[in-house]
Amino acid sequence: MARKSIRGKEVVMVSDDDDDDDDVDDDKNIIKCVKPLTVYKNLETPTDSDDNDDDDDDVDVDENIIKYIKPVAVYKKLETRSKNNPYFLRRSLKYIIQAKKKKKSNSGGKIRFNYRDVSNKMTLKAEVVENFSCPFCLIPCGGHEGLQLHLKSSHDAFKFEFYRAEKDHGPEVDVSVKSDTIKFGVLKDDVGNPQLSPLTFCSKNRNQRRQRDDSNNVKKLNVLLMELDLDDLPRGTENDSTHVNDDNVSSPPRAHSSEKISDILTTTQLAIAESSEPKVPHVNDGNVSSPPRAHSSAEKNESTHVNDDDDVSSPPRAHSLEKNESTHVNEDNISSPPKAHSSKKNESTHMNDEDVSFPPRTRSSKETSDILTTTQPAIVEPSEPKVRRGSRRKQLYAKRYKARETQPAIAESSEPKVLHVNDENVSSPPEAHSLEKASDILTTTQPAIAESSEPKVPHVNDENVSSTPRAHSSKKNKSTRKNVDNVPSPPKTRSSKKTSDILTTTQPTIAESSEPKVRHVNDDNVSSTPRAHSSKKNKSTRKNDDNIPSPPKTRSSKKTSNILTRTQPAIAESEPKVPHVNDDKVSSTPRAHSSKKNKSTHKKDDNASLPPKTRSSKKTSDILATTQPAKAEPSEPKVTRVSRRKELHAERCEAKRLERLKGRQFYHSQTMQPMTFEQVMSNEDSENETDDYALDISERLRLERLVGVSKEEKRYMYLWNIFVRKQRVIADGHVPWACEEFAKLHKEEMKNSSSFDWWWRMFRIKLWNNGLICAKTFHKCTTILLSNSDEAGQFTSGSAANANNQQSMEVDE
Amino acid sequence: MSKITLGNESIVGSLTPSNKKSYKVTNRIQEGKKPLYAVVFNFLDARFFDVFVTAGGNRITLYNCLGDGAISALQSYADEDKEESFYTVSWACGVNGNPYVAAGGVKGIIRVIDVNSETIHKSLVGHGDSVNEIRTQPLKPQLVITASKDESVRLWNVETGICILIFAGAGGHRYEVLSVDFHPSDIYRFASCGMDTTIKIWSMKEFWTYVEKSFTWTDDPSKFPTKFVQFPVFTASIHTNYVDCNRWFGDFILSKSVDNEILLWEPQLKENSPGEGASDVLLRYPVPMCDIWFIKFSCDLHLSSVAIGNQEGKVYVWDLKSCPPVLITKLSHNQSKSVIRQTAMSVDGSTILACCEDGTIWRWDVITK
Repeated sequence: MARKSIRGKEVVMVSDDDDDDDDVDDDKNIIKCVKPLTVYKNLETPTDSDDNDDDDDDVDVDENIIKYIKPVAVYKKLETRSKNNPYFLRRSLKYIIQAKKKKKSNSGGKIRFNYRDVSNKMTLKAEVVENFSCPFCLIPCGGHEGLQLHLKSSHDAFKFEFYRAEKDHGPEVDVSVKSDTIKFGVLKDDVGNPQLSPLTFCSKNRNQRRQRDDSNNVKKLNVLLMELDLDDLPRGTENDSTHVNDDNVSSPPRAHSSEKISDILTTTQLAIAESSEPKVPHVNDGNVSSPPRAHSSAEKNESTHVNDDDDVSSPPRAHSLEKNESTHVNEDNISSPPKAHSSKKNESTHMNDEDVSFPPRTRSSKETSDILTTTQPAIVEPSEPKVRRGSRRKQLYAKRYKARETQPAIAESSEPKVLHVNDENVSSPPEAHSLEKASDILTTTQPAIAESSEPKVPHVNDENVSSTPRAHSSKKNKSTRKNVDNVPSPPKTRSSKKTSDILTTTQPTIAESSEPKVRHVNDDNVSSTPRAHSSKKNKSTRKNDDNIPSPPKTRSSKKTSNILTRTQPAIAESEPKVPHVNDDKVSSTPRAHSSKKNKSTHKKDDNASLPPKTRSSKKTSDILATTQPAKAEPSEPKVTRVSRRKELHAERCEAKRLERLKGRQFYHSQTMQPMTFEQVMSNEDSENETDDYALDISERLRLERLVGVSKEEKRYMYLWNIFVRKQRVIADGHVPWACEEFAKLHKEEMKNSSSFDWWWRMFRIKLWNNGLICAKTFHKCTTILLSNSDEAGQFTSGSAANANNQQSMEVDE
Repeated sequence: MSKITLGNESIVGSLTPSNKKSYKVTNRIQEGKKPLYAVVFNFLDARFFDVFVTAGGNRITLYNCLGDGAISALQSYADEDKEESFYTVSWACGVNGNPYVAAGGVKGIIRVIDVNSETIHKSLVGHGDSVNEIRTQPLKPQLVITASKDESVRLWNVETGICILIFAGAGGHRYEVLSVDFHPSDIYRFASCGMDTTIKIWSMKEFWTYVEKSFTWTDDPSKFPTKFVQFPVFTASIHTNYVDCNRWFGDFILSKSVDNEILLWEPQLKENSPGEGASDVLLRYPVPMCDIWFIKFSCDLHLSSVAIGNQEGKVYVWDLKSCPPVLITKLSHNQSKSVIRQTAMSVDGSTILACCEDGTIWRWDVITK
């Protein structure tokens, strides 16, 4: 517990230091997210459980739950800290209790949250939240709209449907997981599936992140360093699944590693490639991520780590993660040119961001940094880091790999890669294993690989950035062929750099080809883009496998990266392939669909497929061939379903709203007259306007009651009172202005009626007596009356004279 | 708030029937089981002086009073809402002279029926609660005024379906408004009374432009700039209990509470001083066994006599032209035991209709000597 409490503090610290609302939210989110995610997880696990990863996950569930509970010690420390830092105040137990009481007292803002199952068909759990607070992070959002915005921005892993079921019921929100978001109970986004988030969106986010980070860099860095125990950190993300937790923990290291790595990379990169440097950051990401993964894998063994980590950590982060991990590819490829340049910066900043955002990462970063320092060389030599990853499984994998290595069809190795790609997350650990082995092999065979890999290189580049793990896998696959690549691939980072360059060159082509895919991807998932890449690779061999082939891409990417670094000409060669890719893309669109399928259903498939991969690429290839078609079929309907559902959802919401408005007869609040629909929608509210006409009448009637008042005086009082009311003459300072305007307004009437004029004069005298107007104003009013008939010339001179005489009386001006 | 001037003793009528006129039952109709709350002769159109309308439950029925005590049903309307219970009905007229019937009840929706075309001409929506009485401005029979449980009085134009004015607010009634009546000659003036025991005299003179505007309004009725009149010109506290019926008698007012009597009193408004004034109770017309609310009296067109039923099913007919008050006759029948909610006198007072809570309509005809 003590540990946890420390962490809790740390987490708090981090978030506070950030001054970043998102981050703060994230912490809370993380804590709160557990419920829905666990629910979903439960749903998912039975089917997914085939995977190796699941075993580990189940074990940790209880422990994780404990992690989410803040011990009293935390509150105590929070309280003490809050004395120095008011930020902590709201986290102290007292404050929370008070807030709860407040909430109770203001019973308003009750919203019912229905947690739906994945298919959004039944409510698994319902929860009533008060005060418009977010059910995940308990942040009071102030209002319905605020809650909506918050949910959408901070918890975008879920789909929220806002509605009000019945008149007498409060607003309700249906919460469901975005069906394409989960893989193995892990958010797909986290997995780094770029398909989930539109590229443009990602890039935007990223930019914002960077800017923010830049400004806060130093702070954040410090914060990160402060303290993080990977294991102990209570993470919201962990809630989702144990896998995720593990991954998360490991993921932060990536971020760190990226930083450190970046340094290392910068040093190593020079050697690797000049051009590659800018891209290095990408590479770093991949590499960085991989080393931590290696750690995580060692700890958790799990394949899914990498992607999962990011995802789990937080939906918002998920985006960033996606971008970083899976979308890297996309970004790099598509948006990469700018990124590539800034990539170093990005890396560092990203790292910072990530660190800041994820305390766990920060911890891991420390550790990872150490590791990285050690492993980086390994990274340089790709195989080494992987070796570390390798756990027990690694051994197994190693055996399998050996078997694979022996496989004759290295050229076909892409197929197995395909599998890997699909499995990316899951498969990645194995890849790591394979990498180890492969690395050995690769080292030997690199030259050959370089040749073979060249064509693939461009593909690889894209993919490399996106999935370093894949690259590892690719190594495995390539072991025969691409082993050589691997050798350079440690370089993957390098290669990525190089590839980035290459990419920059090839990107146009790729971009062309990829863009269409990207769109698909956007709809579906990021995965399609990788496929597209993979398709390039596969092109020669297969497009069919695209989904599956994607893993090969990653592999190839590694190799290709190597190749690229070495052989940019090869890239040129690869370019021709690009057209293939295009073809593939064309064909891939369906694949993209399938990718969606993969995402939603296919997580399972991937898992299922993974084992085969681990076993043998050969078999997997066969399996893939068999399994892919099936996937492809289901995927299309899903894709359409998903997109359609989104559209329908939006449409439905709007239609519902309008229907509700239309279905009801609205009445004016005062006259109770029925309103037309246009009136309802017109956004006009005249109900509270004062009725001047009625007020005038009542004023006149009131004055008429006065006894002993002449008609002119009543008339004068009536006009003045109306004038004052309509012009809102409220303060003393308004009076001089009012007098002048009144004189102008009723000039004619005063001219015609001497008694009226007289009453007006008497009134002004009273005002003057009370010091509300000065002589100057008095005179002005008089001259206004005279101005028309007499000359205006007198006006100024007279008034000036008056002013001089009676300055003592001046109140106004 | 008006004061009751001292020194002027009101004169109480004697309950001894003078039998100047005598009536006999000539017909009895059992319209249904539901209580009938209103029966009204058509005084607006000389062609239809013999036609009367009853309201009760969700039904509105038009009858023709024939000679020899015969009554023929002309039309019957049933509101689609079975929960509706009409409390009041009034005749009105379209701009082109079409006779309308406006009825309102517990639902607060006023149904304006075009009798000629036998369709609903308008449904006037706006009252927030049940409508207790509807009266028509005889000088401008498109104008209808309604008293409602929502403490407001509304002026409507049944031709266009516009709610022109709302008489409620700071100076308005503080409880259900039970009865309203237009001044017979002053088109701007009307009186209202209700459960807050007050009788208020209102003037819409200042807002007459809106009344005129309502006739030429072509836009959506709900967009009409409905005005609020918050202050009556006179408020009288003549009664100490619910005032459930008031009628103008010249510039005097006949009103009744649940005190077994009808009062004739004079509102004495001060010139140029709205809201102030005195009231002078002139005459008292005792009506035994009439101490439940929602029993309304009626006069003939010439205001020569007034007829009111009581809880026992008897009808008292008072002469309004005599002082001290003279009870013309007391109408009773051994089968008429039910509460008579409202009576209706024909134009010349020769026929008296009484609608009872047991759903019967009694017709009394004068016996010509």
